[in-house]
Amino acid sequence: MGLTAPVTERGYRLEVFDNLGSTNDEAMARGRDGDPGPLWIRAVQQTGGKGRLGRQWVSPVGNLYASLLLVDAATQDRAPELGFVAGVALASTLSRFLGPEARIKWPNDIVVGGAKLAGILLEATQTRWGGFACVIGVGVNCASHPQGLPYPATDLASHGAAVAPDDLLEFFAEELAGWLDQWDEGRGFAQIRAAWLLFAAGMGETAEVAMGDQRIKGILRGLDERGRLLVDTEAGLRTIDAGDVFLPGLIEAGGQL
Amino acid sequence: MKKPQPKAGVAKRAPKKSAPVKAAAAKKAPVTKKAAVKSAAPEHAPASGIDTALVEQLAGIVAHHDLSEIEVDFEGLHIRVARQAAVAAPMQMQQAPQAVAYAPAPSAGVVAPPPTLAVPAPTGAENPGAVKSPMVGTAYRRPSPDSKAFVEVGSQVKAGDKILLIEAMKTFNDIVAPRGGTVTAILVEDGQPVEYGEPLLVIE
Repeated sequence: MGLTAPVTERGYRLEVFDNLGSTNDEAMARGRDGDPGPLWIRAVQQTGGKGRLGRQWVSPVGNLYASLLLVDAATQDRAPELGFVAGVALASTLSRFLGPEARIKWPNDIVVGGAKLAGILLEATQTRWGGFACVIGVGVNCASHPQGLPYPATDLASHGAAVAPDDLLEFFAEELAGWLDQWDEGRGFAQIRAAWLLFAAGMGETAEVAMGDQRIKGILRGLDERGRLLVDTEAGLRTIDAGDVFLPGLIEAGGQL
Repeated sequence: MKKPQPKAGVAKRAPKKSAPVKAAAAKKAPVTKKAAVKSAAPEHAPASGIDTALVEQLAGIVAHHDLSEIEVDFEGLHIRVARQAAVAAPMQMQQAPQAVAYAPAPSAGVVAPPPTLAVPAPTGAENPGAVKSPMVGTAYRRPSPDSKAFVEVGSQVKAGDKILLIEAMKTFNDIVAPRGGTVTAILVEDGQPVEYGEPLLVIE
C-alpha cells in the first residue's frame, strides 16, 4: 500500500480517497491552491471520471484511477512531452504483467491486442501565483472494462493478470518517477521518444485519425521531434498534434468511425 | 491546414434567450494577410438603423489584428466585416474594411451595443490586449463539444479565468486571462490549429 521508498524519498506524496468526482480535478484544485507537488491523488472510484474533450471515463471500484500533480516541472510549451513520459512509464509498468503485448496508441492510450486497457489525460494550468501546474491522470482497467464503447476495451484480469489498483499504482509511481528523471525537464525527451517508439502500436500500418469533423487516412510513420504523429496520406505527409487514432484492429473489431 | 468554417457553428450556437452578446470572429486566409493590410479600400455602407459604432469597432479589430474577416451574432443581428487584398487605395491612410454585410435576423430586436466595448487603440502591430498562444496545438473554445464556450465577445473576465483550451498530444492546457477586462474579439474557432505566439483573443 502506498508509495515505495524510492518514490517517497524523492518527495512524492499520496492521498487516497474512497470516492472522488475526478482525480484530475482534485489534483488540479490542489495545484491551484498552492500545493507544491509532486502529489498523487488516487480514488477507489470516481463519479465524474473523464477522458479527452469531456468524454466520460467509467470508473467503478476495482480499477485504478490516479493523478499526479506536478508544479513547475516544465515550461508550458514542453508540457505535451509529459504525455509521452507518462505513456512510456505506463506501458513499461503494464508490460511487467502482459509482456510485449502492452503497446501505446498515439499519443498515450495503452492497448492490448487491439483493445484499450488504459488511458492517460493530462491537464495543465497556471496557479494563482504564476506557477505552472500539470496533472497526469491515468485510468487502468484492472478488474473490469466498460461495455458498449465505440471501440473495444479490455482489462488486466481478462489477460490473467490480477493486479489490485493500489499495487499497480505502487509500480507505476516508481516507473513514472524514474522516467521523469530521465526526461529531465525536456532535456531527455529524445530518449523518451525513442522508448515510446519501441512501445508504439500501429507504426507502418494504415490507420485513421479523427480531428473534429475531419478524418484522414494514412500510414503511421512515427513521431516528429516534438512528439507529433506523422501520417503518410495520399495528399502528403501530415503532422498531427491533436486527434483520435483508429488502428485497423480496433476498426475491424467494430470501432465507430 | 484547413480552417474550419465558422458560419454554421455560429448560427447554431446563437440562442434566442439570455446572453446579451453572441459573437464569433473568424480568422481566415492568413497567407494573404500581409498584402491585405496596405491595399484594403474602405467602402462603408451606412444605412439607417445600423449601429455604425459597432461596425467601426469590428473594423478596428479586423485591421488591428490583421484579419481578413470577422463575424458577429449580436442580439438578432448578424454582422460580417471583411476586407480583400485586391484593390489598391493609395489615398487611404488607415486600414479599413472593404465590405460590410448586414443582415437582420427574422426576430431582430432593438440593437444596443454594450457600452463597455471600445474601439481598440491603434497602437501599432501589437494590440496590448491580445492574449497569445503559449504553445503549438489545437484551440478549443469549450471544454467539450456540447458545452458552453468559456467566453464570448462581450464577456467580462477576471485575471485567472479560463478562456480557452489548447490541446497538444492529449495534454489540455488552460489558457487563462492574464488580466481582467472585456473580451472584445475571439480570433480562433473551435478545433483550429494555432502556432506559438499567435493571438487568440483580445481582452480590453
